[in-house]
Amino acid sequence: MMSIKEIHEEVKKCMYCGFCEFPCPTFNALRSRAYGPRGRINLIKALIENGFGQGKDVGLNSDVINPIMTCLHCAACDTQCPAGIRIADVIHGFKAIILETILK
Amino acid sequence: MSQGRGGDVIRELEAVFKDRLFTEPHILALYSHDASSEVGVKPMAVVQPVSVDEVVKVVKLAIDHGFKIVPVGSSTSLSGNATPKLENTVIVSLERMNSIIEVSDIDWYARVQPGIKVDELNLELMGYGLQWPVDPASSKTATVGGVISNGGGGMRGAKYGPASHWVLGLEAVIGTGDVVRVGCRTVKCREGYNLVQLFIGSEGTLGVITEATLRLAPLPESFVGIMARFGNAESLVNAVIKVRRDRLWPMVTEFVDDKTAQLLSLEPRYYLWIGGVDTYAGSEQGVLTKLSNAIALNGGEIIGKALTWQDFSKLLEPRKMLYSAQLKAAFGDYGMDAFLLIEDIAVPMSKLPEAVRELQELSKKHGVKMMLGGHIGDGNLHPAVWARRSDKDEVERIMRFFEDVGSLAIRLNGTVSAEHGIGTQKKELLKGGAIGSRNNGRSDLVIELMRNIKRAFDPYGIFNPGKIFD
Repeated sequence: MMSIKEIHEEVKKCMYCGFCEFPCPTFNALRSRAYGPRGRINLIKALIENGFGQGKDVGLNSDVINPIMTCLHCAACDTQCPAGIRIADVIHGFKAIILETILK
Repeated sequence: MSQGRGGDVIRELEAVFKDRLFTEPHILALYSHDASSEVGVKPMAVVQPVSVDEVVKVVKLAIDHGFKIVPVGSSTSLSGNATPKLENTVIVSLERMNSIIEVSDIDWYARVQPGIKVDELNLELMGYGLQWPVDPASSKTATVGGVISNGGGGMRGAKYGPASHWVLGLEAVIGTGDVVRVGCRTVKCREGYNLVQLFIGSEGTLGVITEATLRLAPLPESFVGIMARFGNAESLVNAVIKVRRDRLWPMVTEFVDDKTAQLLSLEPRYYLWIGGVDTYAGSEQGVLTKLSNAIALNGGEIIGKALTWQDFSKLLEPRKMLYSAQLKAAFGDYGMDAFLLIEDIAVPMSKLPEAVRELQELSKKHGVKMMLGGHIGDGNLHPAVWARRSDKDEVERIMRFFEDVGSLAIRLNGTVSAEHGIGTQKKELLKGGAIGSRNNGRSDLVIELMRNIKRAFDPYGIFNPGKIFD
């Protein structure tokens, strides 16, 4: 499983081009930025930078959790990313950290 | 705006938009910037309208409560056009208004909502043998509304021109809350002032586009293309000029310089991709011979020939990797501290060798790392430079390079912005350089005309404040 540090190193590469949204099934179903790879990656980045998973309460709520947890891990986005971010792995790893944190 | 009033605004927005209103801070942050390096602020809310009526309602609320509106599509601007700069902003995100309303394969137009992505539209149009030939590098994700607002172009611009050539009519909500429908469904349309063209490239400062009637072109019946390399920029440009003198009109004419070629895993030479010349089935070989001769006569070496769009797409792969290569170069040098700036100038084609030479000299003069590629068929160059964000000296050198590139474009009778727009990044270049140079230093004359136009459309100053001019 990816560590918080490894995940952060990946998500920091995002340049916000949005190329990853084109093949994303959940983005295309819901047409809302948070429900596409770009949105998920940047939600994860913000949560980590606010201290999530590092002992800090960031006020996690369904508006933020639902977009991340609904990723299908089809990895269609991975081939689109010009920065080479391992998007599907990152989201998968972060889901595990969310569950760990919630279940603690 | 007072706290109490702010609460009222949110309640009123919620009554209209329900679960399509967002005020959660992490979600707001997703709409606080675009793909440029421009730093924005979190808006107070994001709404996702699904109809023109809902857009009217949010504009009327903006008039009543005094908040600002930034309309956005996919926020892929490279000039800061879609980045909110004021906290009392409501982002009107058109991502859910993404339908194709009508396609006419006789009259060659399509009526679409603004949130459809360019490639989504063109995939649908392929079934009709038609295309909307405006193809920015971001066409996978850029929305039609965003491309129109930005006045975007792309690889096919050499033949087809930018968005301004391909919009017949628009429906938009202006700053009084009224809905206006401008333009026609015919190519010829002379109904007073051309208000359609005012919206194109207006960067969301005049209103919210809610529907567009797009002019379409037929897909070419057949296709030829070539990839070639040259020892210097002059020979490459001369080959393109020879192609024009032979009265061939390619759809795509792209190039990269020698240093960029290396980063694309090619030998360090000047590379040209030229393709999409209109041919009729059966005449491909004849056209290919003409193209080949133009290249050979100017010392070029042909690397690959294509007789179909699919084969040419394969030849184009290195050029399509330019953005990835720019990111890799910047991250490779500076890791997460990288700051990448992609410029966007155009010069007349006859000035291209001079422009390429001077850009290379400017990068040396300022000690900045540069990759150079662009749409050579319409003189549009995209020098990309990068720096370590935390290194103030290097960032300042990049900004000086940025200004000098703008001055170079003006000196060569070109433009400081070909297809990326002004946003916030190029306001000074527009005012002081581009407009001033053509008006004996009186940029105020032209900027004031623009201000008056904005006041007419947006009397309460609601839409995308601080963009294009102050």
